[in-house]
Amino acid sequence: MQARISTGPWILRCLRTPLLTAFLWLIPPFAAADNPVIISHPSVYAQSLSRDALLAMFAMRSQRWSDGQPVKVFVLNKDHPTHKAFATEVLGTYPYQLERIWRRLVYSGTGRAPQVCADEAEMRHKVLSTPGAIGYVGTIEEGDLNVIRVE
Amino acid sequence: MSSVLSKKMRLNTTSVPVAMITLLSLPAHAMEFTEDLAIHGFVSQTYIDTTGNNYFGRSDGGSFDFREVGINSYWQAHENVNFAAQLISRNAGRESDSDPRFDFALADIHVYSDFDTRFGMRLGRIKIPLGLHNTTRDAPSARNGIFAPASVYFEQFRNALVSTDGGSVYGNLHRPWGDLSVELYAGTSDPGAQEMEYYVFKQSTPGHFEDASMHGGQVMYEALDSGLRFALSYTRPSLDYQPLAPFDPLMGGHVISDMLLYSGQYNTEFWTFTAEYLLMINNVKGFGPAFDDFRGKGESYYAQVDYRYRPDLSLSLRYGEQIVNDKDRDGDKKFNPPYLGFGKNWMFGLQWDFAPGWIVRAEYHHTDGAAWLSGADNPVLSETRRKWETYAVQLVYSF
Repeated sequence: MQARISTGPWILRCLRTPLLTAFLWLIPPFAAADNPVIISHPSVYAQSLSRDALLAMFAMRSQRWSDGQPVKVFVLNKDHPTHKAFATEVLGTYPYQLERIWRRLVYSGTGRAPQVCADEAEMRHKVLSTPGAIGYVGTIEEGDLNVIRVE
Repeated sequence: MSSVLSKKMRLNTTSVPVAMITLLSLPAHAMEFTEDLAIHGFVSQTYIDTTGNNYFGRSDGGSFDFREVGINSYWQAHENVNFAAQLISRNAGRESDSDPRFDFALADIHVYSDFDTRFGMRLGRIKIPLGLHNTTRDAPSARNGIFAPASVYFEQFRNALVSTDGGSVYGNLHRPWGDLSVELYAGTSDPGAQEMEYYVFKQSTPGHFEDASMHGGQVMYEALDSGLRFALSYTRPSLDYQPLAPFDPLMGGHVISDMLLYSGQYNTEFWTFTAEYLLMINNVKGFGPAFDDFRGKGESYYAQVDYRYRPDLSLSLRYGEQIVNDKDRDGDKKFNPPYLGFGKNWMFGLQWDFAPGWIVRAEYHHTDGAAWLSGADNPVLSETRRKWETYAVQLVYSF
């Protein structure tokens, strides 16, 4: 393989690295396979949500689903790697920002913070047993029926 | 004497690590009794050492006087109604004597709520939305330092401003261009035992100020994804003085202030930039021949930069300035001693979130001027110092 390429036309040899780089750039962000996956309770009809809508829900701003059902938000501990990946890769913000927003709500009497789950097993259990619930896990497993796609 | 001391030391060296381990194993999250009831709380203890002036207690020479304890609950009683209350005990010098008080105790009624719009009203004791920090200025884990920035959130006028008994109407819009929140409120506030007397007259008086009547509102814009926040806040405290007849040299006067506060903040992964500017117009009249009517304009601002070296470790630098009367910026015309007319403060701080729920902060302040010194903690103002340093360490636990 390698021998064939290296003996190929000089133009290919020169372009190999840039072409490979360009090709990698063109791959759609399927790297998102590493991103946390959003899960919801079966009562939630939404199949997909924009990043913006997700941010509003996890910042506790949007408190109703579009069918009027109250949103119940579940998160992992702020130091959990899945939480960090969720905040930065999915929501496009930082764990410290979410923390500040929640603290402001809690200590000013104007709202509440999401419920914190100890691990992903508890997250799955709470989301599946709470109507209107939304949460996230590191990777999809069998039994994760309601997975919400990021638009 | 030395044996008693060494016994104490021995006791401490064994009990401190045990206590720390016990404390560190406390839950770092809210207690959730049901899906709809959450309990949060906090405890803070601060050591303050100042040179010359007393700040948050008898700090000249070192003190542990500044201490905060709070517990709060949020109960979603119905789809459209929730209740929230926070009980605080705050010990911070003579004006905050650790007697528990409700910081807020309210019913929040959601009149209209859908995916991206919410309108409602809050009734009861509500927090006054003034700038970025007033609503959480007594919650140590939600502040941006050991003390709320003193130039804008000055202590002499805190009691009337922290919360008010009344109601508010609010609207929150979430749109593609950002989040917009509007809140308008009216209520009455207890101005504290002597705070207003020191604030207006620089001394304790025979009579007292009645409850303050508060009106105001805030408009806040926040773009969650770009980390931008802007707020415009207005509040109008109005207070009547009740003289103690027939001994009082003062007559039944009024103090009305108009406060306009501009706030901005920009957040990135590693940096947070914050600035707030307060314009305050004070109208003091009707106190009779012993105290002339006056109308003064005061100005305050601060700018702060926070750098997150690591997610759990950040450094802060802040500069703040308060000019009590803009016609007398050096204080030599209307103030005695003149340095009561201004305050200029540099702060350098460190914050380490060393375990879940735990924060330790250390700060150094250099202050020129005594504008935000409490009169109750520094009753002999002629004995205060113009230039003073503050060293403070604060330990916070919250869940």
